[in-house]
Amino acid sequence: MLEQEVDYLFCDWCRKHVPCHRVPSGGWEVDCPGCAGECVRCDCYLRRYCFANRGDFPPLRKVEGDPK
Amino acid sequence: MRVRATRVLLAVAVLGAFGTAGFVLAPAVEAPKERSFTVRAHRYGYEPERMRVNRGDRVRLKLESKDVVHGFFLEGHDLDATIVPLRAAVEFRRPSRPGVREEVAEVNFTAEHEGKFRYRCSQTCGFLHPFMQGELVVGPNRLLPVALALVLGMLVAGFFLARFPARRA
Amino acid sequence: MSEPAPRIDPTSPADGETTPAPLTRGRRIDLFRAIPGLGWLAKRRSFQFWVVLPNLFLFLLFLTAGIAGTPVGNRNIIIVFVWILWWFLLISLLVPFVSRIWCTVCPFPFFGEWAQRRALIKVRAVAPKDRKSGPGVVIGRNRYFGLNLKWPKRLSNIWIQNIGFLFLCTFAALFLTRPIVSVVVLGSLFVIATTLHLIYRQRAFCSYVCPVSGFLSLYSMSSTVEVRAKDAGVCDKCKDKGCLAGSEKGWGCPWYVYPSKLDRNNYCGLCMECVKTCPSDNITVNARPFCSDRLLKGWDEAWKAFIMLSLALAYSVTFLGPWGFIKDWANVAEKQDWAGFATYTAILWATALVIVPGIYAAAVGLGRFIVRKVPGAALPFKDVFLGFVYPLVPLGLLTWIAFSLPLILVNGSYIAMVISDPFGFGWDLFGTANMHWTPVVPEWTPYIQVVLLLGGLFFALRVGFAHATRLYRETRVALRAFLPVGCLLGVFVGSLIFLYAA
Repeated sequence: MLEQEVDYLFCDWCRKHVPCHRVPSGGWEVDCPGCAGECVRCDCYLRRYCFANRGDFPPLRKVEGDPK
Repeated sequence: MRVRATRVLLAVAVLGAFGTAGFVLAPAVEAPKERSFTVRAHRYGYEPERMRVNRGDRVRLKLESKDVVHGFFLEGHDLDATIVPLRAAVEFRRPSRPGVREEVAEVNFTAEHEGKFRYRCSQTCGFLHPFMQGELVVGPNRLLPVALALVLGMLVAGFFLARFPARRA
Repeated sequence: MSEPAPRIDPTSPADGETTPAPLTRGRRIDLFRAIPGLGWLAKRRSFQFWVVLPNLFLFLLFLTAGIAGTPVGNRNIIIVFVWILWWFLLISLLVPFVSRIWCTVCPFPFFGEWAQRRALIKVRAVAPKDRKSGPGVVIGRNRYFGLNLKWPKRLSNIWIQNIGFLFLCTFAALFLTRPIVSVVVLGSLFVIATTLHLIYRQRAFCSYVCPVSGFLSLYSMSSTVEVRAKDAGVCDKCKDKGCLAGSEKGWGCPWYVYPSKLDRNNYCGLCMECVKTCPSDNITVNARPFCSDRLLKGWDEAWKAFIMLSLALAYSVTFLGPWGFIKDWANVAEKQDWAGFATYTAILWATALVIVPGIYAAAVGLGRFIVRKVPGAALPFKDVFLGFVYPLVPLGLLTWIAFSLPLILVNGSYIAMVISDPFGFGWDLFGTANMHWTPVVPEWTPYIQVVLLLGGLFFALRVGFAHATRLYRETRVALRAFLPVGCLLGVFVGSLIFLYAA
């Protein structure tokens, strides 16, 4: 279930929505349990540019059936 | 902890039983006798590719080469021969006695130990020389039935004993 | 979005789907604490440079020997050192005990990474105010040169490595025995590595292309060491994220992994950059039990396991078997038996890509069928399949060791010969050039191979049971579901034992 007031990112690799939250450094961190620690696989768990370019946040993708 | 220890002990017992069964049930071998083979070496194999004898058999090998100079190194038997094409005799040496060589018409030995022994080319004969080999299988070769029985035993132990803690619980 | 979102418990399903729990477990020993000086060494900026440099020189020596030296493989250092010594050390000792340590010392990315960083040892750190100015591309807090493109998302998996390795291995009989073919293979990889470093950012070649990296990633899961965060809580509170973004002390992870969350060895190249960049000294190297990482995460990884197992079987038949005609098929450059080579290639590729996976999938399907009526046991095929393919990791590794062992026992004496005469020019530098070829206890080989294969089966069943229990919760259901795959593993090991000992 997707929760209100939480931003999600769609992980192409795991085919599911994963929460994305702001970290104290100012970037955004994506929490995908399927690819923990392995941006090499899915590029979503922690999008590198979240921290590289502070303040940028991962593009949220609309997929069919998503709650608004 | 006790369950785990019991499970390990049972597994060891099952494996021991299967291993012993494999050892005991290995096919019996005939009384020793003399066996002769003509082994033809070629790049990169031997004919026959596999020879089967029994422990205690006296083995006589006539070695020939169909193309270039080859070797015949038999694992575990301390014998190595150089086979020259179109020559009846081969140069024979024992690796344990370096420097001593003799010309022989046949290589003779007694198959004293059971198991699988590869014969390999010991003279660089071409690109795939390091992989040129044949097999001498000396019966009863109990490694095979024991190992296969252990595979079976491992499956039995695994599938039956894995249920053990659940049942106890 | 200013408030942090609740963190997901990685062991619980998300989105209502089945997310396999990480099966990493067992005791850990912090090697930086246990081995004095190891942590200090790993934190030296020059650490990787000094371990790669000798390898680079050796590699160049091998290439030179391959080009200028004797064409007789067992008299040329490139063949003897790379395919006999290196291969044995890699598969039998380095991967099982030190994970991807080969990637730490590998010379292939040396020039490419140098061009990318324009530095061999020092770090190019960028202050926030300078991000928009200056040459090159800024990624994280480091400056890089070259195009630094992102690797295409579609190719962000190990399929290229799978197919590349299978392709290379099809020609094994050529490059294992001919120095010049080895030069072409290794030289091409060197050129491809350098070129890709100039185009794509960081270690794209290593992560996605290098054929060696593919099986290192798979079998490093079983390794007894790992790079991990000491305390996950420290990483959660970390404001710096130097391991990922880099810092003045080191480069952001070149392998695109996030060390603080890492729970598998697969894509960590042990470069030790995160050890240097972590501001809290929270990254370390642990010793751990064999087969601690237990989760395959995709079809590509599963097929890697099938390819490796099939190749071990095929090589055992081709190179360790007595059948000359199969060697002739593989040895196409000399025998010119193109029909035989086509047959060999077709059998190899079909076995690795279709037959073995197909049989395995059928066994997994049968297991699911057996437990289909048990409430809650209708799990997605992919989850069960990936879980049940994992046993091929320890089994495949032990099978490869069983295959490689006779190569070193039988041909190890060539090492002493080529040390004295690396090019085959007739030198005798250390007095060992003319020693006789002397196999070491070759008659023990079948016994050792049987022990290794039985060990492989033991670990395979053990981790298979663990996966079955994780998936199906109840032991009885789990065992019934795993039964067909377990029997298949037994048949495979039995077949190899028959091949090695019959």
